[in-house]
Amino acid sequence: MSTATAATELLAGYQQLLRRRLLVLAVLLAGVCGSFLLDLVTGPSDLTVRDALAGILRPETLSPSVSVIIWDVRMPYAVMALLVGAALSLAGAEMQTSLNNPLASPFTLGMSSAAIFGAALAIVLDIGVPGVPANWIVSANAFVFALGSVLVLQAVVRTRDAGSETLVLFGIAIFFTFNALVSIAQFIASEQALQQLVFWTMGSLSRATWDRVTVLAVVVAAVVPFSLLASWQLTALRLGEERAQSFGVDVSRVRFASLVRISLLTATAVSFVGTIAFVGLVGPHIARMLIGEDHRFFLPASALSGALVLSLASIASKAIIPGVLIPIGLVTALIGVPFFVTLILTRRGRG
Amino acid sequence: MTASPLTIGNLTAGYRRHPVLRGLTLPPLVPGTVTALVGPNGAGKSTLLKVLAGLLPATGSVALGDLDLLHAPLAARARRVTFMPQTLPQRVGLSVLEGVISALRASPLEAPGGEPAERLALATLERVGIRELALTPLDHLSGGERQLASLAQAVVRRPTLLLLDEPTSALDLRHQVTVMRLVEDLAAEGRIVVVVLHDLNLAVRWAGRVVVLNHGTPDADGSPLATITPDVLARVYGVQARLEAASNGRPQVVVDGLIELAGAPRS
Repeated sequence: MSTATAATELLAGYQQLLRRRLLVLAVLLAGVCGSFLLDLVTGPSDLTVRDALAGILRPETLSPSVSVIIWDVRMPYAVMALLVGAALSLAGAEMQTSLNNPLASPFTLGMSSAAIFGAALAIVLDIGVPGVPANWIVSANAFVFALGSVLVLQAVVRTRDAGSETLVLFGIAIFFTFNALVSIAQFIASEQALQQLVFWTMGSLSRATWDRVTVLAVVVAAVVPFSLLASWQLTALRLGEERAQSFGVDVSRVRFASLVRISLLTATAVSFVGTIAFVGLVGPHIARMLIGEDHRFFLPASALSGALVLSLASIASKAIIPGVLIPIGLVTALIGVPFFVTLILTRRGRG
Repeated sequence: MTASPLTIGNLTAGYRRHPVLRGLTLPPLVPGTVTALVGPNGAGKSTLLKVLAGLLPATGSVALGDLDLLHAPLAARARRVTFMPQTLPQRVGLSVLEGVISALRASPLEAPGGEPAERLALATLERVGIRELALTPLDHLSGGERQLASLAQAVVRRPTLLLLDEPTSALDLRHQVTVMRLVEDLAAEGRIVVVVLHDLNLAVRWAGRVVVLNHGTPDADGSPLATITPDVLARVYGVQARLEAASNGRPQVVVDGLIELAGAPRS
């Protein structure tokens, strides 16, 4: 075989690989859409997929009661599930790459503990960000503390010009500090406040409103383009920190930008629905297994996998005990783990 | 390829209290030559290489022609200098070709004649001799193939200064020769190649110039046979060694034993 034809063949092979990845993304997207529809029709009052589709495409044809169920109850939950899943999973993907650690998740650096403490301040002590309306105060607090924890972390690491390991160690310090503070808040809380705080911590979509959905959608839409712009640099980072630096990647800057994106996504998601831990760890792993680590594909695939997992979890949270909405944070792992294990096992079998 | 020499003057680097390099100055390193950095552990070989790569801060001067490497912006340096660490990380979900493409796309670099990154990457794999592995995942490669993939990532950026940290350390004999022959070819194209080596026989065989570092300063600097001598090896490594002509006439380093250094702690 001549050199030129061999090169052409390999090039064709590579292009086929790229097409296959686009196909995987399309399949994931289709799965997300299907799961979303299923999520809309799952619940106490029986709706058909036809009702749901009509509700989306031609709302004026529906009876007022069905319209209310779809638009005011089911839809915000279902959209929130997709957005939170996408946000946490994308954040997890960036975290795993920028910390070079497959066990990292959006909560690795203590962001969730900080958010819970912020919520605890509002729920237990009624301390909140001044000027925030009462029904937003818990979310605002959680957001401020989650974002603040990352900025403090980054400031500390910057002054020492330290690497990812130091970052993780400081993150663990933050995690334990806020956990202790949360325990103190729980200790002094009234019974009613304690119950409210524990429920908040579990993570639930029942707090979804269109306002909140819109805010999260705006944040996700604002962050995603910057993630995608950094995809080559993040891919190069996978080849080793020093190597990437010598390829012209400003590693500490890329990592900082990544942390800012992670904290925006995570803080917003957590502040609205509480902590939903599993999806940010497993979404990126599913994406990696399906599509590899070319971040042009890996990042969108992570977002879609996360959206799918959380949407399925949302269906399960309604379907496991009919008439009872189990907090989704409790269901995520139950849904994600079998999915994840199946993927690992089928992959092993093939390799 | 238009390359200008690399000059290193009065270079100090390392830890705040314990500088590893203290006022290191070297005669210019010229294009077309493979320079081997040898010396005992802790002599400052890797530190020097990382300073040249811009990975460690330093005082003094390092210039590649008119480019001040100690103060150049990252992008300007990355267009001329590439560093190849000892190993590729494990468990990376990329194929060989994707690794090379992302090396190229990591920062802006003018492609010659506007050639697409994929073609340039494939040409580099061909050159390094692993084209048929292009679509193989990096994780499925043997140690020798990994090192060639790693070298391809560095070479694809067409650096004028190529810095290699122990590129042969984990390789079998065949791959050692493959890698060192490539290194020699890359230098012959007019690059400055600086390579840290532990195996002195590889240095004797493949380097045009050898810098023997000891305690952060050059103990000997020159052609392999002028630098790797029993005297220098005794002084720097504390070993009793000789150079014997092998049956093909090439000198081989043979180590007979240790020299107890007067006043030096045994370790």
